[in-house]
Amino acid sequence: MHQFVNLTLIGITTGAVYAAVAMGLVLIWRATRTVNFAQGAMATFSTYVAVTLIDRNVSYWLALLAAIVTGLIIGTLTERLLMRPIANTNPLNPVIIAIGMLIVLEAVSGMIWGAKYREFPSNFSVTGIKVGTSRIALSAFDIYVMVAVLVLMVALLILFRWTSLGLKMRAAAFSPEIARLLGVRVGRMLTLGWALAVGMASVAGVLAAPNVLLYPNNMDGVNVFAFTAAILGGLDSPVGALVGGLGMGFVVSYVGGYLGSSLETIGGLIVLLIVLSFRPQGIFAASAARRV
Amino acid sequence: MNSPVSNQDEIIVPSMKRSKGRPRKSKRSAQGGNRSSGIFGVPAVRNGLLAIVVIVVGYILLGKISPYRDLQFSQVGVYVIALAGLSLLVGQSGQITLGQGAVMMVGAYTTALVNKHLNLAFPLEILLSAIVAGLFGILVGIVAARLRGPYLAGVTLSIALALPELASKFSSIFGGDAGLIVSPPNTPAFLGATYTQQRFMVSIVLVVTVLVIFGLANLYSSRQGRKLRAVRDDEVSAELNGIPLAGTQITAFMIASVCAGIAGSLQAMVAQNAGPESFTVALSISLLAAIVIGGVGTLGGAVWGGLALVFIPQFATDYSQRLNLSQGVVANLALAIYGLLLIAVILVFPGGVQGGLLRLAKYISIRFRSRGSSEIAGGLGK
Amino acid sequence: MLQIEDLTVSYGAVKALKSVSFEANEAKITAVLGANGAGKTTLLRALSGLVHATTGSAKYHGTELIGKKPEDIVYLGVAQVPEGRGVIGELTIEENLRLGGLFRRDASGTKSDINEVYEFFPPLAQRRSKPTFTLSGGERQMLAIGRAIVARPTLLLLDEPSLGLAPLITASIMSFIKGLCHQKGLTVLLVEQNARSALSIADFAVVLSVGEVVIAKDAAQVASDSDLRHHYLGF
Repeated sequence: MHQFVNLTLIGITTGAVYAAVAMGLVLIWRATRTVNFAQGAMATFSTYVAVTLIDRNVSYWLALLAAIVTGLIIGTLTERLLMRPIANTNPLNPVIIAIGMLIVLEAVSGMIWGAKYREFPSNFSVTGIKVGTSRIALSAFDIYVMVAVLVLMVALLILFRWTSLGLKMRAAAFSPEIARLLGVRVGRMLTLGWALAVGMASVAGVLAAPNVLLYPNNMDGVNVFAFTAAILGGLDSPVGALVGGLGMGFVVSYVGGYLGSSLETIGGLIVLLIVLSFRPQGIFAASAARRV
Repeated sequence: MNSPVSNQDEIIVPSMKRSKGRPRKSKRSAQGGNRSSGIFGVPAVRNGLLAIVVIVVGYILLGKISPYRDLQFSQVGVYVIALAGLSLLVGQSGQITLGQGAVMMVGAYTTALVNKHLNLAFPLEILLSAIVAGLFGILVGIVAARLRGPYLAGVTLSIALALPELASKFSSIFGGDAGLIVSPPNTPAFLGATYTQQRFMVSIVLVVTVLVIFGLANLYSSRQGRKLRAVRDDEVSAELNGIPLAGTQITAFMIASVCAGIAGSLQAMVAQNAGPESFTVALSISLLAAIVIGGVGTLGGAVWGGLALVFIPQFATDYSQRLNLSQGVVANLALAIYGLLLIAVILVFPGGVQGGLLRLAKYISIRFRSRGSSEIAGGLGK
Repeated sequence: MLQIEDLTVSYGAVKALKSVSFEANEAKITAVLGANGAGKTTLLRALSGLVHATTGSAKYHGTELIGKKPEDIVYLGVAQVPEGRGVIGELTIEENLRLGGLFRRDASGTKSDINEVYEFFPPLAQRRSKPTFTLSGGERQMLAIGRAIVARPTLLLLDEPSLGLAPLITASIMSFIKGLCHQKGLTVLLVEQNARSALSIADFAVVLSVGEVVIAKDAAQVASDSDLRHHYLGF
């Protein structure tokens, strides 16, 4: 029973990180209809910037802000310099550009900060909270991560559901031409979408770093599970990202804890196959639109 | 942002405007579009002659290259086979599939297991691998038939992640992380003592590559190929015209998987090993990148992609090593150059290398003919 | 008044519009008719900035439209209803309507205009929070026109509103357009292949053939001239 409680708690905390990364993927998908396979590497780069500042005695919160700003800049540059020239070409091209970015950014991170594992200091205690006599696998830092993820999700929901900016972003992504006819500056919306998504991914990177250690490709694994999570929930839905993220967190935690860590990805695959066979566009997809 | 080109259908093919239901004229033209006549007009004959020419020329060229290159060219051939199948699948469905490396693994392990437990001639090993991989492809295709875009990418990515783990987990069957040893085909004695094992292997790869490309080229111009293209161009109208959607998608997956199985089988023979390390997610991702770079939906694209997969990393590493930098930086620099080249090729050739070459060829042919007809000028705009 | 002068649009070597000139009068419906490929859609896309005109000019209230971006042209009071019921299927009906008024400064005015659209088209009101792809063809066309109204334009560019609609629905859409023009004093440029129904509400008619203006007359004159109808309009 004790193990089950702990695995559940670990599931929630890892799931929260997956959810944070998945929300970045949801944001970019809603805003530009692309899957950003480079998101993990971008987040890692921002996280390195943050840790460099923390090493120089900058406070955690300022470093977090610096990571977000780095993310905004990376996102803006990616859209302006790489994605815009290939708009209206083969829809696979953005995916390949993102893969190229992934390779380049990981290599550059390795060149600047070296290919060694680094600790990332956390602003809250990472030791488990004491319940009665035993410590459970839930720390103050874990609670902070969960709160942060909830705040991000609510912010995303508000942005897309109630603000005109969110509406413009979605219109620009779904139908650039109609959006332009309605006075939406489509190019600006795409840039903004990229900037916000990478900014959000950078927060996810900083949130994940104390648990996974910092390494040029430390987010690769997290990113794959987060991508799976986003798909489970439905790429169009921020709530789906949270549910999918937690779901993947439980799968990884229970499968890893009871059956051995080498079966985690197989567990993920099985869950994904089961869910998608009932809901081919994820749990929270709007009913499927088929374009005629 | 919005190119005026999208409107061109209306001007060039006015009658098409209202009939949105009909499959559009293929923009990414496949292989079967040539208009030659006589016996050379029959695609199978033309492709067959071409295949024989390529084998002969390839054989002569193989005699010229240094033995060191044998391994590299075997690798190119393996990739070309896997990419040719992927080209058809991705070009057909327009969907992201990240599982081609995993299917190669199925082929490689089939060859390794057959090699270990049965005593069969190597062509039979390749054939069995193709069949097993094809069956696996049908399974994946059944799952994938309802999925689109990122959802398909996610499932295939998960498969690519999970398969190598299965191999590590069930080590008594699959040999764990070290994989299984594969004894390569014996070099026939009549080839002479100077004919090395690697040389024999590269010859096999060359012949099989040409055969696979020959088969696919015929498929592209066949009835089945037309069905595949119809589904790609417009799923709904293809279905309305009586082409079973799911069936066609599953067929595409099966064909791609048969190619991957053959490629994996050859890979195992070339490397004399089938192990999980050779078939990571990185391989699947690289294959997708390579076919987009080469030109999706074309067989030429598979050749460019195969060359790129072998020689770009090679070039990046060689170049980095010449700069006298510390070892850690060299490895990263090579990666960075590889990534930058990937990005650069897409930016320069958004239609892939093959697409870029076709455009160039069209441009030149227009230049040298009398002022090009409007049809050709229109086609260039894309 | 919209004054189009010598407007030419080319795609590569192909001229889609060849030096087109005509005027669309204030608070009147001007129908642009012609067969497929006559250049009707290209004309609208050139006016709204979606394609670049090679030469020529199009002045609305004296302001040059040619050379401006689509997103800027909206601010001049020009709204376009694109071909094929240009609504965004993935957004809800309400969101589509909100989009129409996003560039406006007055949120309350937008809101009352949206309510007005719901009054015009009750089927839309019932399903305001449903995704647009659940609507029928006629309802989508209503939504597209409704969205253009929310933008409070003075010049409305309509691209084949009858495309693929049943005759009865086409008739009701046409009479709605006519009413709109009269009530709000809208200037309407109505591109139609369905010449019969367009002529039934138009004040003035322009017939395009292979990119050139062949007729520019009062709609009534065109409708009554059977030779002309047979030759260019096929009825």
